Amino acid sequence: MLEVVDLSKHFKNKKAVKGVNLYLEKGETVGLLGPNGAGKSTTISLISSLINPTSGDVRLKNESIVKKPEKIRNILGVVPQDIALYMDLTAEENLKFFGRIHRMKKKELQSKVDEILEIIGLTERKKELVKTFSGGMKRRLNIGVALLHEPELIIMDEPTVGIDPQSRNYILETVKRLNTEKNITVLYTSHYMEEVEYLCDRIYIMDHGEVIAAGTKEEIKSILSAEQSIAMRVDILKGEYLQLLQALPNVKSISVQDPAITLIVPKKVNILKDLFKLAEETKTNIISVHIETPTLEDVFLHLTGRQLRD
Amino acid sequence: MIAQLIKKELLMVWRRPRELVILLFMPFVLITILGAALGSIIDGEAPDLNIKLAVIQKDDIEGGEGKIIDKVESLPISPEEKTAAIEGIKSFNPLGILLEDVFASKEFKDIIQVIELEDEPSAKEALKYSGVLEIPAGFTEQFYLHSFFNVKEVPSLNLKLNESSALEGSVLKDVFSSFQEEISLWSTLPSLGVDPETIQNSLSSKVGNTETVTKRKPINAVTYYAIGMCVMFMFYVAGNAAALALEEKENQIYGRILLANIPIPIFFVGIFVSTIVVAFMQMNILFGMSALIHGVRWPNVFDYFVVTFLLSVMVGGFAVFISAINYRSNSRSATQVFSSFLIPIIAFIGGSFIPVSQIGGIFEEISQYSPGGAGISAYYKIMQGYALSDISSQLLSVSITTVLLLFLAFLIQPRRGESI
Repeated sequence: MLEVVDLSKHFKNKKAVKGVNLYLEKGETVGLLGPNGAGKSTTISLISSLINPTSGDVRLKNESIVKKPEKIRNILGVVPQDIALYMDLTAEENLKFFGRIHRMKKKELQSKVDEILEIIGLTERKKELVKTFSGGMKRRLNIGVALLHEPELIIMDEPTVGIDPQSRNYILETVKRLNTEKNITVLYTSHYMEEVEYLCDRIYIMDHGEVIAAGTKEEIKSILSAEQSIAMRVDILKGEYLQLLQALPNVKSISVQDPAITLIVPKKVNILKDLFKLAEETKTNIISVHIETPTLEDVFLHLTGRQLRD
Repeated sequence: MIAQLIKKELLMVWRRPRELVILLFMPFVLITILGAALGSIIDGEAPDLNIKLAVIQKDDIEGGEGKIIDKVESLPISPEEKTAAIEGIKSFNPLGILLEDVFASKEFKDIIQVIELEDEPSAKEALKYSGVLEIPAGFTEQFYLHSFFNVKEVPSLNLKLNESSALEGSVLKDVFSSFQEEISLWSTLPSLGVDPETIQNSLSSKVGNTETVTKRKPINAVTYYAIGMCVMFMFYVAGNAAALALEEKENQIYGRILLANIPIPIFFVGIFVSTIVVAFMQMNILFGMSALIHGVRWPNVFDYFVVTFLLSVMVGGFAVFISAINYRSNSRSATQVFSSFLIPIIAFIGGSFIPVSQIGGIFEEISQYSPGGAGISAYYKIMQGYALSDISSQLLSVSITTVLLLFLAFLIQPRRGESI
C-alpha cells in the first residue's frame, strides 16, 4: 500500500532522516520505535506529505506523493503527538470543524460525528469544552478527529503519552478494533514497548535518523536468540561492582535502572558464579536474579545502547 | 471553508475572557476615564483662572473725541461728508470696546477682574495683579488722527505682565494682541470704504469667542477618546488573531488543516477574513455602547460603516502579516513586538491619547497618514459632518497600507512542504 524509498531529510545543520526504507501492507499495524530524537516524527511528517524530503520518495499504491500530496491526504488520518485540538471548543464542535474542512456534507457529518463520539467514548461529554477534559479524554478526541473522514491509513505519533493506564488501555483497544474491524492500516510510534508488542505485526526500529532493525516481533527478538537476559536486583548499587560486571568477557550489554541491572549474555554460558563472586568482593547484596529470554526492550537496548524512554 | 474558520475564530474569542477584556472592556473603561479626566483639554474648557488687571486710565476719551469732531467740522468738505465722518467716529470707540465689550463680555467677566487705579502702583503693589494696563493720555485722539487724518504715529497701550503668573499673563497677552491686531486693521478700513460699524459688531465677538477653524461641529472629549481608543484597540484584534494562529501551528492544528488539503493561502485568507469580522464587530459593539452610555452618535451611519469596514480590512492585513512572520520565524516575537510596542506607538502617532493638532508640524502630517492616524482622522471628520469625499486621502492611505501588508504577507508566508 505504502512504500518509503531511501527517504532523507536534511535541515540546516542536521540530518534528521537518513535513507529510510519501509513499507506498509493494507490492513497491517506497523510499529515505529526509537528513542527521542531518532527521527520518527520527521519520518511521519515526510510520509504524511507535510514536509518535502531532501531526497527519496514516498509511494502510495505505486504513485509518488511527493509531487501529488493530495493522493495520500485524502486517505490519511494523522494523530499528532500534541493535542491538535481547539481547547475552547467543545468535543462536538472540534469534530464538526475538522469534518467540515475535510469537505464533509452537513448531513453525513452529524451522523459521522455521533459515530466517532461513540467509538472514542465521549458521547456523554460532547457538549463540554475540551479544556475541561482529562489528558486521556483529550487523547481520545485527538484520535477521533483523525478518524472522521474514514481514512484507509492512520498514522499515530505516540498517542498515549502522558495519560493514565485506563485511558491508555481504552486507546489501545480502540486502535486494535479499528484495525481488525475496519481494516485500517496503522503506523504506530510509541515509547512503550508493550504497546508495540500488543498492537503491531511488524516493527521498525530507528536511531539517529536511520532504520537499524526491521521485521516481525519474532524476527526482531531473534536478533538476540543466541543470548539470554539476566535481570538482577541489588540493595545498593556500587560503581565498583558495575565496572567489574562490564569487564566480564561474556557480557554483551548492560543496562542499569537502579537498583535493577540487566545483562545480555550468550546462552549456555554460566555467568551466575561470576556475578555472586564479584558481589562478595565488592560487598554488594544481590536480592534477586532472573534468567529470561530477551524481550523487544532488550533488543532495543542492544541495538541502540539506550532505553526506549531515554 | 472560510465560514468554518470564521465561526471557529468567533467562538474562540467569545470563550476567552482575557481576549474579551482586552478587546471590549478595556477600551470602554479608558474611554470613560480619559473622557472625564482629560475632557477640559479636548473641550477647550477654561482652566480655573482669576486674572486681576489693573487699569490706569490717563486718557480723556470724550475730550479726544470732541477734538477730532471739531477738526472734522473745520475741514473744507460737504456737510454730508462731515456728518458721515462724525458718525463713523462716534460709532467706533476703541477703549470702549476693550473695557466694556471685551472685558465685560460673558466669556471674560468671570475670569478677568478689572481694577481701576488712579496712579501707577509701586513694584511691590504691582505683584498683586496679573497685569497692569496703562492707557496713555491722548490715546483716543491719537487713534482717530491715525485712522482719519493719516498721521503716521500709531497709538499704543502699555501692558506690563506679572511674570510670576505666567498662565494669566499669557491669557492677557493673547487678548491684547488680538485686540491690537483688530484695531490696526480697523484703522486702515475707512480709506478702503468699508463700513466701520459692521467691523465693530464682529470685533468684540471675535476677541471673546472660540471657533473651530473649519466652522464644523467641534468634538467633545468623550467622542475624541471613543474614537481614539476604539482605533487603538482595534489593532489588538490583529495581535490576538496572530497569536491564535501561532497556537494552531504549535499545537499541530495547522498541520491537521493542511492534511485536509487546505492550501496554505486559504488558511491565511481564513485568518484575514475572520480578523475583519471580529474587528468590525468589535467596533460596532464599542461604538454602540458609546452611543448608549456616552451619547457618541454618528451624523452619517453609512459613512461610519465605510470607514469601519476599511479599517477592519487593514487590521486583517496586519493579522495576516504578523502571522506570516510568526509562521516563518517559528516564534511569537512578532506578535509580542506588535502588541507591546507597535500598537502603543501607532496609537500615539495616530492621536489616540492626545490630539496631534496640539503638536502640529510634520508630526501632524505624518499622523494623518499613519495606520492609526488615518483612521482616527477619518472618524473625526465624519463626526464633524464631512463627506466621504473629504476623507478620501485617509481612506486611500488605509487601503494602501492594507495592500502593502497583504503583499508582504504573501511573500513571507510558508511554502508547501516547508518545515511545519
